[in-house]
Amino acid sequence: MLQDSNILIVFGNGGHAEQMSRLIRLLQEKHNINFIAITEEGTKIRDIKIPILKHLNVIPLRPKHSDFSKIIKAWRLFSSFIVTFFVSFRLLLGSRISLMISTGPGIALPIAIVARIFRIRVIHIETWSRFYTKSFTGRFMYHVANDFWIQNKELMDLYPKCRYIGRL
Amino acid sequence: MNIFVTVGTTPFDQLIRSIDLHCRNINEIQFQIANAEYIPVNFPYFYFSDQIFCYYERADIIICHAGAGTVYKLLEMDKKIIVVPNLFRSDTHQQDLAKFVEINEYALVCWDIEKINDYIQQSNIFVPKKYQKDEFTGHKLLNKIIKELYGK
Repeated sequence: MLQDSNILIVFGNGGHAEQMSRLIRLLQEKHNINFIAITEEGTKIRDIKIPILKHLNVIPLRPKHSDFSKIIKAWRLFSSFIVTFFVSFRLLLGSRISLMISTGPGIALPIAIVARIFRIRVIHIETWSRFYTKSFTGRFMYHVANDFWIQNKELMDLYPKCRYIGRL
Repeated sequence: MNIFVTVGTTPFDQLIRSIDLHCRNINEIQFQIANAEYIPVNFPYFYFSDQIFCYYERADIIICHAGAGTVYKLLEMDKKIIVVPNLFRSDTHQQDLAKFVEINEYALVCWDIEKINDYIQQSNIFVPKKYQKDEFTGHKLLNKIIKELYGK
């Protein structure tokens, strides 16, 4: 059971972590709120320089290398989704989290669904590397998140109900 | 001419090999190769560096993968760069960024790594448009939302 007020942040390695790091550091006002992080396995949490109260690792939603058959890929997607869903459910149950912020990747999806079930507000910030095509995560988070924020104006055509917030 | 080649955190062996073999005419090239399997034979290399900004500053031209973090940083530094999207990866998101750079003429974009030397020659006469990004306002909105939700 987590005391105090907490914000859930969800991100993965590389660009996702860099974007989350920049975003949180820009929140200059302290708010007296703790950060709880769920990240993709392999994400180097120390590098992002945000003090984190609790940290959970989950396996990637989709494997990076796709040399497998369609059936195996579908099964891996399904099973990683279910596991992340239940792991998040257990973490979020009774937590004093009112807000989830995500910069992707795919793990954000099951976590966001759990968050919505617990009436946690979900803000997804679409990656700065997409302009003309939808990412796998963005495609679904657009429908799951309460707020879908984009960093590149070019995406407005693809996601009509979004907010443009400039680039990190 | 001093050229620095960087592939970011994931290997891009095809690019490194192509430059290693086709660009012997350039006098100074350095490679940052990540966890590569291909080891360059003609030019110095390293895997990763904490001091990568030193290499960026020294280089006349930087050849980089189409990773957003790297590309934005280099454009903000006003460096002359050649962006090479890694088309060998299973996900294609580097193409979007490469297209964005090309459409806006912020840099040369190399879609065929075998022709990388042509792009290096072209970069001598290419005049890039200045990269400017809109101010980020997401944190201001976030501060408001946090106050609403948490009363703090």
